Amino acid sequence: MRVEPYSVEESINPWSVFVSFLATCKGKVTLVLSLATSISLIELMSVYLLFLSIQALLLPSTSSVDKLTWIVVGLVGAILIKSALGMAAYYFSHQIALKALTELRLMLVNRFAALSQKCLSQHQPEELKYLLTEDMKKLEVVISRHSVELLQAVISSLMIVIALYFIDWRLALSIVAVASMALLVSRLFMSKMASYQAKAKGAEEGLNSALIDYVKYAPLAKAHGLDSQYFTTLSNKAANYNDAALCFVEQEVRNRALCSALLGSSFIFMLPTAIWLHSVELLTLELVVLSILLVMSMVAPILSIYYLLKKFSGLQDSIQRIMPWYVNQYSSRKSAPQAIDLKYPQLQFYHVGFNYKQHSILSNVHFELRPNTINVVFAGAGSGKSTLAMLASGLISPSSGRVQLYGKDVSELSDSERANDMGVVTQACYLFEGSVRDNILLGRSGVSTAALEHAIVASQLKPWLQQQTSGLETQLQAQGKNLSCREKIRIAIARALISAPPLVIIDDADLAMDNQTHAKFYQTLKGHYPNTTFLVFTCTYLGLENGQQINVLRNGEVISQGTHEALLARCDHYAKGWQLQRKEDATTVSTSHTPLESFEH
Amino acid sequence: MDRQTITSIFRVLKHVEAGKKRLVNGILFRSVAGCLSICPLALCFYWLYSELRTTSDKIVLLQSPSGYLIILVGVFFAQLVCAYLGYSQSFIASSQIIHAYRKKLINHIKMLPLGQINQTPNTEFAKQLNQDIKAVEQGLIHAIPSLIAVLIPTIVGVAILALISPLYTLGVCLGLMSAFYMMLFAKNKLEQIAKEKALSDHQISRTVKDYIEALRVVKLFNQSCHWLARVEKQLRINKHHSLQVGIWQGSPVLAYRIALNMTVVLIVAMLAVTRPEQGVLTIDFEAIIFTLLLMQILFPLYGIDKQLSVLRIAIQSEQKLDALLGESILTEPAEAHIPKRNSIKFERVSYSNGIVQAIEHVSFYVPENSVTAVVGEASGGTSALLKLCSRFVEPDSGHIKIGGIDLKDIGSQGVFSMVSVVCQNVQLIDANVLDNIRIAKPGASNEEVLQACEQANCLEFIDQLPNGAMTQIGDKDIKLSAHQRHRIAIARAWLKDAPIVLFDEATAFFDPIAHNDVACATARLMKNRTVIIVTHHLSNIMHADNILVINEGKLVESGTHRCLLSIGGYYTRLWQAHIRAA
Repeated sequence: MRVEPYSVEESINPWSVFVSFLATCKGKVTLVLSLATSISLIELMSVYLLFLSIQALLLPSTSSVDKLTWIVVGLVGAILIKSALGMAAYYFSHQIALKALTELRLMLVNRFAALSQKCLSQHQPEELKYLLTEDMKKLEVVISRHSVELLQAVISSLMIVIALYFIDWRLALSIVAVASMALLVSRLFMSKMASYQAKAKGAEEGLNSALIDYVKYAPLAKAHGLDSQYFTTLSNKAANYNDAALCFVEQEVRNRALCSALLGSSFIFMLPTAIWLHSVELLTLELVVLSILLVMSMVAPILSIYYLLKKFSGLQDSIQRIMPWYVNQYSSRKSAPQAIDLKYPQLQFYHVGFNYKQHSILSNVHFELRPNTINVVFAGAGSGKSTLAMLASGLISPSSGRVQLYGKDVSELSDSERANDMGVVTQACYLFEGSVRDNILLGRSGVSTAALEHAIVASQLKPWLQQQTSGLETQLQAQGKNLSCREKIRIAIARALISAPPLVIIDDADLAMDNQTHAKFYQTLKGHYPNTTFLVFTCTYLGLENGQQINVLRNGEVISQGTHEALLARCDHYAKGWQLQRKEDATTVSTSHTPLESFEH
Repeated sequence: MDRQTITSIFRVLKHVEAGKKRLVNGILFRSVAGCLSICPLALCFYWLYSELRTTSDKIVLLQSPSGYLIILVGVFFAQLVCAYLGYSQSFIASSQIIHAYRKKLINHIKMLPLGQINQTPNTEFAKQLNQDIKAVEQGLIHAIPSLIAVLIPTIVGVAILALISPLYTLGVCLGLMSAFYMMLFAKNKLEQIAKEKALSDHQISRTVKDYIEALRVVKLFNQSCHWLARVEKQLRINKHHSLQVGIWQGSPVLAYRIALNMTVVLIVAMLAVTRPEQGVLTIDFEAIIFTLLLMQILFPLYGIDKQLSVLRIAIQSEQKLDALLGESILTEPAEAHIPKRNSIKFERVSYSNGIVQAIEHVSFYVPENSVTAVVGEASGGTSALLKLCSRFVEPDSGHIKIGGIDLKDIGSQGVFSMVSVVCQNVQLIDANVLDNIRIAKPGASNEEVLQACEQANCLEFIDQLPNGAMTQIGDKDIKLSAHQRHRIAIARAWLKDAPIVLFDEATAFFDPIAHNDVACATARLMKNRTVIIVTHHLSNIMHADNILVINEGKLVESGTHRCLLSIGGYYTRLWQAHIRAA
């Protein structure tokens, strides 16, 4: 994967991206556009009809009753057509929104799939989910509803201005002057308000996180009598937010008041102009009345433009988040698959180090796997076991040194190469709603029954399946909620074993075993998959006596290697742990026998 | 506006003192501003009237356009002032109200039993709370004044209309009524649609979330193509479904607008009908001003559907918050009784966590400075005992006493000062190691803290951290593993030095060395203290003074290790499973 320099992306305008979302349904966009135009035309026409009715009142004649009747018919027709067109416009805009966003979702989903594992590890799942759900929902509402309304409002007000222009250009000018003044004022205030808004937003975020912290740490704080301290912080944040919000509100009030007053007084220039034009006999009385009506009907669209523009500017963040994915900033580099070079060792850690936030987790880990045998990494909690497992499977790349599979960096492997060369069991084993069989196969086809049976037996899943009435067809709930941790990890092991890859990595194998089955577990793995190299991570000594190659990981370093016996002689740390375990077993067993015997007698 | 809305508004206002009067003022000023917007139209009409009147006996007040301009500018400024006053009063009032409301909520949360807050995942609860408060602010505090500021001018306008022509006004009222009825009718329809829409959205988000969760594992097995096909199919189905729902989404609002439009039509029709009766060819000024005014009155009404939808969300949120405010809080005694002895006694205690009966009629006694172990299946029962004992939750019935005094009379503060809780998923604050331990005794010196660390076998792993004891730990920085955190908890308990210690080791699984470290530290901490320990590691508790065996919420057996084995009951079975494992 290669990350493009960011400066390239910055030149792209979010709105051009927004427009390109809609590019797939150009025809429908035009359709909606024309529908909106015709709605505005009809609105204009109904204003004209109203004008006619007022004209009938102004110039009473005997025919005015007939005329009024026709006007009523015309108005009813106009309203009905307008509503029908409005429905149609909504319908099509919905279609556009759903189509465009489904395409966009699919595209993003594909982009995610094309990411390398290493790159995927850098992104929080939450972040990706938010992108696909919340941001998309916002886009959907705006495209399907607000866009049509905005379009219609803009076209309506434009048409009214044009109609006024045809009556007299000075009238048009007077109304444009007011509208542009309102926009100018709001712009002016907007830029001034930005800092206040940012402050208020910051204070709000502070308050929100304080509340989250308060609730989160409530048990800790209460148990140690720190509750009042935390609560004061929270109250202060609330007061802070209140202050910031008040500052913001003061600014907002001025802006709102001016804007609403300006928008409400659209007559301010227009009426005197009209009266003047009338007095110099450039304008007939009827036209004055018509223009009054037109100006009145302009207030609503301008207000809704004002309202909708805010909605649109709220969208900017969402688009900005989607943009890097959309313009494919995270393009993955396709490398040609290389043939496996057998002269290199299968999996090798070459002076590997890994740091997390300047904290060294692994340092100078250097070993290679013995082929076709079980390699154990023995590590106590907190010694970098999981990190090492992730490095081995290429989910992350090391800070220094290399992890190589047949001489190639593991983190650079493509999905297909990795799937061919290794099976990986991670701690978070994903299970979905469906049968056990589907969960094990994970969509792979062409798996023979024998291979499935092998995998099930080797992963110790067999006894559990036999207890289930429907065997392999047992239905699992989402995330395997109806299973114990042990069954879950066993399913994940079976999943990894099924294609009999040359290398299988099992993180935290202890979870898969009850204490008594450790030895059996290793034996079965070896028995069923003699040609597979295993890399197993464990933190107990159980079952380790059977001659596996053991690497002892302690505090991020491999301190010793060898078989169980060799390590007992060579490695103090290993021997100490072993003795502790023996001692505990001994006490348990010795004390347990006496009372049981007495009970039996 | 229906009953629900009104009760919601009054419920919110009931919780606050300041700002109510201001809010009313603000709404009044905004209404005046709305009423003032009718003025220019009256001016239009006046001009029309003065142009068209046939008799010229009256004095014309305004003759030049400039006169009109001056009046219009005057009206504009009056409007500006009213709008400014209205907005500032109502906005400031609303922030005061929401501030007070928030404070009330926060105070209430403070008093809730801890178990109540922690039932849902922590951040989820708080996030929801933030969202709800925001929604209430948007809806009840902002949308309501806007709505009233639209409705009052409408009513004033209709009143003026009634003065001009009662007959036509009847028509207008009829039209408006039908429009509002449409809105009410649409509300139900809208809710139904919103539900279906939410369902469809939920399906999409489930598909997507599932996919994102699956992605890493699926990619490991190179099956992403297969999965993509699944997602694509699901998304296309949802698209189709959403479209069907979406068609009707705009319709209620549209119906409302049609009804409003029809009001105008109705008036024109009435004009047409009433015309012939008069029969005289005069200019009907009444009708003209009526029509003009009507248009002006109707325009603001077109926009109220947006406010109403905001309001709808706000009411839902308010109801949720009200339910939270209605939840019972811990009663704290006026005067805390601190017990002299440290024995613990449960008297027929029952507790259910809302789903299952975790504990049923459990009675037992823990003498001072003795160790009582609790074993049982990994259901909520065993750890519920500890939660009850530390007053994280309140029992449904029965009494829990420390030194003969009920926990209710000791008070939360008192209980927490006497009890230390040691568990694995112990919380860390975002601070360095020393400060993390120091919270158990805020005034402790570094030496004291380090001594507690030593007692808890913490020093070994602390030394390995990049900056030793000064290393920043917590969610944002270096994360500690389960057994390291467990030892931090033990160190805190050492520092706190409370006479009663509750251990929760229900899920412990360590490597032998770590296990040994923790076990030694635990044993050291147990000395000369009253201890209740919940564990699965039966070999740790063989020497406990008393062992309580809990099965399905009931206390089935109790006694020492030997005594229980000689009974040969549930405990014997657990023990045999344990030694078979070892």
